[in-house]
Amino acid sequence: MNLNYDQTEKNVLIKKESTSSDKFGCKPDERPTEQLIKYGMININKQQGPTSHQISDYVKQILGVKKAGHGGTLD
Amino acid sequence: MLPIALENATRIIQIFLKERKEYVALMHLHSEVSNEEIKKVFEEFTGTIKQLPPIKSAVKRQERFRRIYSIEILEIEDKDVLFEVGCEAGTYIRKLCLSPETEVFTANGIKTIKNICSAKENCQVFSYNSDKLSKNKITDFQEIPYKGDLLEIVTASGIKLRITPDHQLLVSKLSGNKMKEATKMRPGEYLVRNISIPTISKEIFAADLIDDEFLIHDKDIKNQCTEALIKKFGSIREFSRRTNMDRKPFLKNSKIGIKIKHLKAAKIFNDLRSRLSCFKSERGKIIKVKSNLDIELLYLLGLIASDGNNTKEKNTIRNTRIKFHNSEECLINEFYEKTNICFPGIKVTKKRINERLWQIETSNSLFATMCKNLGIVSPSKNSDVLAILELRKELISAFLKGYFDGDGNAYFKTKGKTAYSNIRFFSVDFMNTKRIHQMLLKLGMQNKIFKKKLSTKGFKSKNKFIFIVELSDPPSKFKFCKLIGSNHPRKIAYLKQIENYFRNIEESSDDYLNAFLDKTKHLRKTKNISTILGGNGSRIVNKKIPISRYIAKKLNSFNGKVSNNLGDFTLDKIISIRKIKYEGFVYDITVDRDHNFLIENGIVSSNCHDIGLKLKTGAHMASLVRTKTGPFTDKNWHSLHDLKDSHEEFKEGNDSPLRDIIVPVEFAIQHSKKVWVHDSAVDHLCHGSPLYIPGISKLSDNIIKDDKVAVLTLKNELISLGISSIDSNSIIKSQKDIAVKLEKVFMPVGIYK
Repeated sequence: MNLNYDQTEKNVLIKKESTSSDKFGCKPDERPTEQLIKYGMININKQQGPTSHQISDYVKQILGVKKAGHGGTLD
Repeated sequence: MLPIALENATRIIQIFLKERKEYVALMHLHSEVSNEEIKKVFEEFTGTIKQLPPIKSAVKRQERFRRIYSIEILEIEDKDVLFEVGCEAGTYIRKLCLSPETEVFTANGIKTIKNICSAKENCQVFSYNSDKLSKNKITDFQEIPYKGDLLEIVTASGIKLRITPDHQLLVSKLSGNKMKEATKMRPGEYLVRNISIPTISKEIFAADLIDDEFLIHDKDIKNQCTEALIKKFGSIREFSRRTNMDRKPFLKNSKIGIKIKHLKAAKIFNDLRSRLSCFKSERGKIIKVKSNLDIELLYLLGLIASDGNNTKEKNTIRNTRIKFHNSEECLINEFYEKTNICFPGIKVTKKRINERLWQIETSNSLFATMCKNLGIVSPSKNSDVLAILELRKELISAFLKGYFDGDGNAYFKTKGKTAYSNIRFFSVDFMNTKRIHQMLLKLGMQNKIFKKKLSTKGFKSKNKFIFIVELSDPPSKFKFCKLIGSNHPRKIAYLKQIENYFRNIEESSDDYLNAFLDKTKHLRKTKNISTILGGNGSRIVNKKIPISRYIAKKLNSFNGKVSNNLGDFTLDKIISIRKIKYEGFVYDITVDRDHNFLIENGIVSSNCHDIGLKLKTGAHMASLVRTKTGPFTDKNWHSLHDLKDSHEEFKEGNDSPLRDIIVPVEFAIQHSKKVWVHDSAVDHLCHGSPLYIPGISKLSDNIIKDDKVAVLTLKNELISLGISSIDSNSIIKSQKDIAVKLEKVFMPVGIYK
């Protein structure tokens, strides 16, 4: 997974160059795991049988999070 | 596949929910079918159908039931059917592809299918039309992520093809030529291949092969360039301001030469390139060369490609030094003379390294740069001499002659009545080998590639084996002796013997025709075929071997029932097929009319050709729009069990498996348009304030008004999603105003305080 958008995207216009201070926040790739769970997404291989709703419920149970929403199956 | 968003990221899911789970496809039928029949077949596909997932799918390959909710014909026009499919998860619509490095013959030269698909250039490709070569337009391009097995097919000519198991190639059968899926092919079958490489002749000049910084030493050209620049830009000062180039060379009485880039800026390079012949290196050396490539130069290039070396000296900006080693003094002298002809006045030094080896070297930045841009660096490095393949035939012959002298071998011996002869080229690099194979094919010489383990200790190679290109049939060998020849004394002697021996042979016995003995059954009844054909008879009587052109001619003289028209195509036997693991993109193109195209060394490949076979006529998918997109593919999914396991591991302290499964929320917005903001603006945005232009650091260039954009920090963390109020260009131009109105804020307050 490459989230370094600056290198992956060619067509970026620059308004004003500046760098971000290390004091605040952190790059998505380096986010601590506890935080990653809070801002994360999972791509689940959904088998036949359980509904999407059930699966998001399982995920909630496994990770112990309060909220989880699914985006509908894709293919 | 099911993307799930957690906790604070949950609201991002709206991006996916709004899109529909439907495909719109355009099917092109190969022959006319009545509308009623099309409707009937389409109805058959509605409801629950039984289908086999394609082999490239990530799910287990077994028949399964899938529900197609709706399949609706939107429009039928002639042979085109536009239809919409709404389907359940797991319904496959499209398959069939080639690996990215596969080369396709287009009217503009040989290109890899990856380049064609990513450039989406609507060029023409060569294709097969009942034994004749034809040109057709590309109408569509496919680029599909793929994980699974590819089949690697090796043919008798030594070419390797990598294709998905369901891709089809043209195979010669008793009943005629037929497209066949790769999984169903077996070693021993014959692929249909073009007898030579379609001719694409490009004119290349010396000036095309050097970089933009090269100095031109020619007053006349300089004057013309000055005039053209003034005409185009108004004045030299204006030219310098607009293009950021130095205007010193154009000052009055300036002795600084102009460069290639100046000609390009004045847009007169294409008109003048055939006249550029006198250059100057940075060190002030004046180098003259003939403006168009000639036979002597190509011979030198051949020698360098075989056993030469092209290197960079210290403190130089480009390659300057060319070396050539050989044990034969004759070749060294040849090199010396030819360099003097091509580059008069440039110093060349000969040196004897030891009793067996001579070295010749020259410091010539122009020649070295030309070599480098033609892909000739050193024999062991990955070089690709594709440009030479597209030159005129005489020039290719000259190149091959050079290569043969440096790294080729000829052999001839008679033993009783039989004669043993071979003409070979050696290379350690497969790409090089393939190009020589293609060059020989283009000159009409059949040949094959094979590799051999190295036994001699003196020769070094990384792979411990060497590739050999060998001419495979007598007519080609004869042609080689006549057309190409050699300057190497020992090789000349052998080539002369070969030429004498094969003088009377015209048609090859290895050059197969697309016909089998079945077509000549009547002949078997009337006369004993082996007596007509001599020694080859017993081989021919075995039905599995196709008839060669040589035998077809013999049969013709006896009974004219075998077609006299031998066509442009021949056959290539499959030697081996093996599976290789592959993960990445695979490609295919759709070709107008003939629905096939030539790949690698002329093998005929089918294009994107798909469902609709039920209509009893061929059909292919002309276009397919997946209306539901997202960054989540079947490549990066995980099962619930994986999630559970990795979470347990995380609790025990090892977080890496879990980190592999959970992707940051930013992953979901990688395809959307983006705006990056300065640190100082972040906290205001977290409070819900709209984004003003001064806060923006950089942005995607394709934002238009009312577009959905993602707002990110400079560390690429997602702050919010919003709707743009103005477009990219106005954001760059103006200094104030609202740029983006936020819709959903993801980042909590206080992180950037």
